[in-house]
Parts: sequence; structure tokens; C-alpha cells
Amino acid sequence: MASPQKSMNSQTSRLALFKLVLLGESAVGKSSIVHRFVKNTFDDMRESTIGAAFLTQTVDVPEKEITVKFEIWDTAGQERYKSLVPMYYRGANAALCVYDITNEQLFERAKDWINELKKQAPEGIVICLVGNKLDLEQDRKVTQDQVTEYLESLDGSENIVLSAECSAKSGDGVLDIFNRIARALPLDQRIQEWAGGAAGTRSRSSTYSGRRTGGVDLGRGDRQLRLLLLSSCC
Amino acid sequence: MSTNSPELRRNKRVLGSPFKSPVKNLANIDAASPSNDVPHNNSNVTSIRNDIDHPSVKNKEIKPILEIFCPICKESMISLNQLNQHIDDEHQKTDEQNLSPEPPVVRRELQIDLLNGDKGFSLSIDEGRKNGNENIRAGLKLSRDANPLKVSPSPSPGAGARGSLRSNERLSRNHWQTPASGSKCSIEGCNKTLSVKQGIVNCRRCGKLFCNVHTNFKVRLRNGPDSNSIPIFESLKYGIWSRVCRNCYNDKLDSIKIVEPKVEDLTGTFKRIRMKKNEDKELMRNKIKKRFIKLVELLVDEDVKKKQRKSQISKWNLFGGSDTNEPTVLEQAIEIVGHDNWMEDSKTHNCTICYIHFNMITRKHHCRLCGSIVCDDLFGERKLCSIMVPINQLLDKLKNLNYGANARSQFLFLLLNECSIRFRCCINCKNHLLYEWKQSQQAKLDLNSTDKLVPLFETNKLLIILKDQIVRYMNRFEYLFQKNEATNGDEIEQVREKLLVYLKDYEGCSNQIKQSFYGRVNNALKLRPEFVDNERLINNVYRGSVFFLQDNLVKFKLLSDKLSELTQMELEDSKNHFAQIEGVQISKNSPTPIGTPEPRLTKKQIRELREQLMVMNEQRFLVENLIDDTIKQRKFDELGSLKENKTELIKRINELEKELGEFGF
Repeated sequence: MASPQKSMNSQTSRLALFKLVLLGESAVGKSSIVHRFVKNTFDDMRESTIGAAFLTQTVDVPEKEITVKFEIWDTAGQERYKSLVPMYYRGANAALCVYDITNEQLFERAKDWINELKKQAPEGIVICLVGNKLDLEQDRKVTQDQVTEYLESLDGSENIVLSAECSAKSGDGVLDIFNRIARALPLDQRIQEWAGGAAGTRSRSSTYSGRRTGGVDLGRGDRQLRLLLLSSCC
Repeated sequence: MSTNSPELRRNKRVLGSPFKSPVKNLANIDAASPSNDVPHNNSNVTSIRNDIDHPSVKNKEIKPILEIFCPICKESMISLNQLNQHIDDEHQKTDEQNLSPEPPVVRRELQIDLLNGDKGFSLSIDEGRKNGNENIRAGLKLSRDANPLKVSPSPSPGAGARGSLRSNERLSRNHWQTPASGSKCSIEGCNKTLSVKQGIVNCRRCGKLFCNVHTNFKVRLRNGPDSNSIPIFESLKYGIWSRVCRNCYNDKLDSIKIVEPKVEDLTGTFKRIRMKKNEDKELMRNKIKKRFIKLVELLVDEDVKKKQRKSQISKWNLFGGSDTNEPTVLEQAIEIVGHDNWMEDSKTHNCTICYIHFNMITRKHHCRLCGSIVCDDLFGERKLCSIMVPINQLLDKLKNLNYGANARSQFLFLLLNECSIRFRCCINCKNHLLYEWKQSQQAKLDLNSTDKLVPLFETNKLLIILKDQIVRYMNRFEYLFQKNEATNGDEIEQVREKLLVYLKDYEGCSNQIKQSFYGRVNNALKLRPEFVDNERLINNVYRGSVFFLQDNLVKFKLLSDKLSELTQMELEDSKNHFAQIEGVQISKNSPTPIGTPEPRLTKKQIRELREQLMVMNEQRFLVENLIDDTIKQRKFDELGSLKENKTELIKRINELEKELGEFGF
């Protein structure tokens, strides 16, 4: 899996900020996916998330000469935190509805999340139905057919609904999901906004970050500092 | 008896003496002239009985003490005391029975000099004779104005009795009322017709006829002065036990009252003696304590010196020695105890405590605190008369004494280290020394026994408070429930909540008692052994709490079950309402505060809202931390959305708090 950071170096001219939220029942692997995507790590014994975690990661979209920066809100799946979730998908540009391919019930719950998103989330949100734990292929309960069947039933709604399967453990397909989402996002619209110079028309967050794209890459600086620290004797 | 003049007191002593000290009397009788055969009232009972039962001996000299035998059964006696006792025990009844057929007794008159003839303590029957038999009863009184030196009046009745008995051994029956058919009991209000069954009894004194019931009284009587007069009371030995009526018996009690018993209040004396003894003990304790302080000072000082010397010796030579020093220490020790108290070896042969004789093995030892010579129990066979006490043991127990400078400076060192400084101390001094410590120890022990129960009392206090509240709210709850109107739904819910909380607290307290005082033995709840002393108290408290809890829980459950049916419907309603509000909020994206007509919150709603509020607060905390982190890491581009989220969270929190209103935390 190619590190997304490398590609960023080539295309630093334009950075588009998008908010992404992860939904799903507890223990489907939301946090694992995020960590695989952001840090390229996997923890077998990850503790359940409290509230909602915040992480960022960028994805290059070379054909449009743009870098998509995801602000990821990784929500907790536990019932207790259900009331927190609407707050995060309300302003989101994309949502990952994660289920566990070894558990049909969790797939049903993911469908519920999609329904809820369709009702409550802002229009134009990119939804991706993600089947996690692909490494447990032998225990698979939710087949590809079921997913495609469901997606077909959704046809005609204004939201873009993608579907994907991945394994946070092995890392298979994780990056692919984010790449696909990045391409499904309304990048052209964002480009036009910049071109028109009409900042602050659509969403505050996007304009805010749009202005800053040309600035210093603090993240990289930090990384260099860390390397420096690592190489020094103390 | 405060008014007792010395004379009177002497009188009394005289009166009592014949019976108190028969031996002395006998000696006196021996001393008296044998020819004097006037019976003396003060003479010993034995001699009298002798005379009565064996008239043949009447003129004989009384035998020496060695040949004492019972006049009735001829049993030989060791002492007169024993004989007296023997006659009282064995021949009391036979005495009475035998008395009547006895021939008249001629008594000897004895001149008895109780203490000293010169002083005129002689007792003579003549005095009684002179007074005449009419005065006999009066003679029972203590004639206070009688010549104290001469005659005690009490003997006179005896003399009179004997006089009359001589003429008539039986009580006179001249005055007896003769029974007639239909005669009734003479007691007022009895009215029983006398018959063989009811009894036809003449009172031996007044001679009237009575029934059996009213003559169940016995007094000692003797004949009156002349044959026609009624018998009179005789409280002394030679009175004849006779059956009398109730009236006469009561009369007799009066006569007894006249003879004032000798009462001496010794409480004051006792107290005085006791106080003095206590004071002596206290004094002794103080003395011992002072000596102990001095001794400790001396020993510690010596110890320090010895150490110094040792180091010197090790430095210089092994010359010199401790023996030059040893006597001086002893000298000083004697000085502390005092030369007077220091017992001399040559004069003492036995241990002052266990009295064991000293010999080669059992050596003499001086107690360094009291100076007495005691044995040393090396093998623990005898009780511990003395031991070598390490002073740190005592110092540990007597921390507050006013020790000298040396001891004070070394105090901690002495306490903490194994102490080589010892001295000989006897068990008495040890007890004196540790008396106060033992007292305090005892006090502590007493305190501890109640200490164990302190948690019980505290819990009980709490239980009582909670009980009050539960009863109050239970009543209110019932009342509201019976009214059962939609308007007080809020209140009833409130009351129910509170009741639930109190009941839970109560249960908790009850469980606390269970846990701290009971243990499980074979699946049964058993009081822990350490609390057995207060078994009843604990059991009652615990049982009471359990019963109360059971009663109220059942009641509460019944009521709240009924209530929940009612609220279920309300819940549905409000749920819909709530959902609407939520929907409005979400669709608007920037939720407006909830309308002023606050939705009536059901318990479930409140719980949910509270949960939400908690989650929000948690999240706010998380986000704030995240913001801090990003600032630290200088990722300012991420700061924006975090801050945005934070404001959103705060907004939501405010909304929730508003919604919860009075139900908030």
C-alpha cells in the first residue's frame, strides 16, 4: 500500500477539505479502518472508542490535480453514544457505514444508518457501505449479492451510495475506499469556488481550508522535526 | 444510738456478755464461792439446765471445764460453746416437753464479777428481787437511770421467772376460759364456732378461747407473779414456748420494741478505714514511683559510665574493674530506698512474700524499690516473688513519668533497643508501679468493647432518619396515587423517585450491618463471634431494618407497578412529542432552543436526557483535549473544525441542560 503522504508532496497546490464520518455498530472495525488509513497500523486489542475521535488524512486525486484532506470523525458504536452521532454526520461530506461481513445483523444496522443518513444528513453526502473483516472470508455471512441487491434498491435516491469491502487487519481495500470517496466528492464544485474566488458560499470549513492550502505545510514540518529528534542522541 | 452515754453502753455490754463469753463466765463461776447457791440469772445456761434437769447436782460444785457433758443425753462436749449449740439444736423441744414434770428447781445465786470485782461490776440477783416481780416487764426495758455499775435490769425477769417456775413448772391455767358448746373464737371478726375441727384452743396467756388459725403463734411465756395473774412474756431462754392468740402475740411485739436492739452504725468507721488504706496504698505507689525514677536515673547513668569505662579499658588495658564501682551502685540504690526500709540480711530468714526459708539455693534478694528481702524464683515453681526487670519494659508502660535528665536523654534509645539494664523488683512493687497503667489498660479495653458497636449505632442512626423519610414519602405516594389525577403526575413521579432512592439507601444500610456483623456459616447467617456479647442488640437492629424494608418494598412495588401502567401511556405521548422536537432540531441544522412549554418529562426521558448530557460533556472534554493537542503539535489547519465541533457541543449541552431543567444534575 502506497503511503498517501508521498503523493501529497507532488501535488501541494490545491487542498480540498472534506469532513468524513464513520458510522456503524460497535466492534465492526470503524476505528481500525481509520487507523489503517491514517497511520497504517493495526491493533488487535483496540479499546472501544469513547465519544468520537478526530483524525485527518489526505488523499491525492492526480487527474484533477487536487489533494483531498479528510477530517475524519470516528464515532463510537456503543448505544450510549448514539446521541452524539447526529452532530457529526450533520456537517459531513462523506459517511462510511461500516458493517461486519461475518454478521448479518450488523449489515442490517448499517442499512439503518444509511436510511437515517438519507433522512437527516445534508444532501449530496457521499455514503459508502463498507464491509469490514474481509480477512475472515471463511466466516462470511453477508454476500456480495446481498449488497448489490440492496444498492439496487436504493437506486433513484439523490445520494451517491458506494459499496466496498476491506480488511483493516490486512489493509486490503482500505485505501481504495478513501480513493473512491475522494473521487466521488464534488471536487469540481470546489475547484469552481476557488476559481470564482467566491469564498464562503457553501461551507465554512471548506473555504477556511481552501485559503490555507498555499501556506506552510505544518504537518510535514512536524514530521521532519520528529525525524530530527529520532536521529539525535538524546 | 447516738445518745449512748458511756454508762449505757457498758450496761449493754454487761447484758450481752453472759452469752457471748461463756468460758469467761465459767471461769468466774468457778471462782465464785460454791456455797452460794442462789441461782444467778447471769450464770451460764448450761449450769441452769444442769440444775433443772438434774436437781441432784444442784448442790454440787460445778465441775471443771474438762468434764463437760450434755445434761440431757450425756454426750461429752469439748467446750461450753459447743454444748450450748448442742442443746439448742437437739433438745430444744424435749426441753419444753420435759419442763413441766420437773420438780421445782432450787437455784443458786451466784455473785459474778465480770471484769473486775473492785470496780463493782458484780451482778446480783438481789436487785431484781428488790424491785419486785411487778417490775419484771418494766425490767425488760433498759432502765437508763439504774445504777450502771450495779445491776443490769434485764437479769431480773430471769430471776423472777425462775422464782415462779420453781413454784409452778407449768404455766398457770387458772385463768383459762372453759369451752362451752357454741362458744366462738375471741378474735374480732372471726366468728368461727369452735369445734374439734376448727380447734378449741385456749390462749396460754390471756386464757380466752380461739380457733386453730388464730392461735398459730408461739411466744415464750412464764407464770405471772401470783397464781391468779396471767402469764407474762419471757424472751429469754427459760421462757416456755407456748401457743398464744394473735392479740397476745401482737402485744409481745410491742414489748420487744421496748428493748432497743443495739445498733451501731459502722459505715463511717469503715469508710474512714478504707479511705486510710487507699491513701496508704496511693502513698506507697507514689513512693515506689519516685524511687523508680531515681533508680532509673541511677542505672542509666551507671550504664553510660560503664560504657565509657569499657571503651577506656579497651583502649588502655584490662586493668581496673567494675568491682570498685559495684558497691557504690548498691549504696546508691540503698540510698534511694532508704536505709530504714532496706531489710537487714541477718534478720531475715524467710521471703517476705512467699515465706520460703532461704538456704544455699534459695538466695536472698533485695527488691530495689521497697528494700524488702524476697526470694528469686529461678525455676518458676513458686509464684514469682521477684524478677530482674529490664527497665525498658517498664519505661514503655510508664512513659509519662518525670524522669531525670539522663534517662530522658536516653529515653528513646532505651525504649527501642534491647535493654541490658535490669534491676531486682518484687511482685508487689511491680503491681504498685503498674497500677495506673493497668487501670488505663482496663479502661481502654472497656472502651474497645463499645467501640466495636460504634458502626452499628451510626448505621442505626442513618436507618432511623431514612425510615422517617420513607414513611413520609410512602404516605405521600399513597395519597397521590389514590387521588390519581393527571395533574399530579409530575409530583407522583418525583415522590416515587425519592422513595426509591431512600429505599435503596435503607437497603444499603441494612446490608452494611449484615456484612459487618454477620458471617455465613453453612449457608446460614450467623453473628460473628466477636459480637456475641451484644447479640440481642445487633439482631434486633438488623431484624427491624429487614422487616421494615420488606414491608415497604412490597408496598412500593405494588403501587409503582400500578403507576407504571398509567405512565406507560403518558410515556408514549411524550415520546412522540420528544421525537417531534428532535426532528425539528435536526432539520433546522441549527437547533433553536426548545419552546417554552416544557414537555412533561417522564422518568425514562429524564434518564435519556441525562445520559445524553453526560455523553456530550464527555465529548466536549475529549475535543478540548484534542484542541490542546493540535495546538501543541501546531496543526492549526485542523483546529478549525475542532473548535467548530466544540462550540456545537457546548450549544447542545446548554440545550440539554435547559431541557432537563430541575431534573439536571
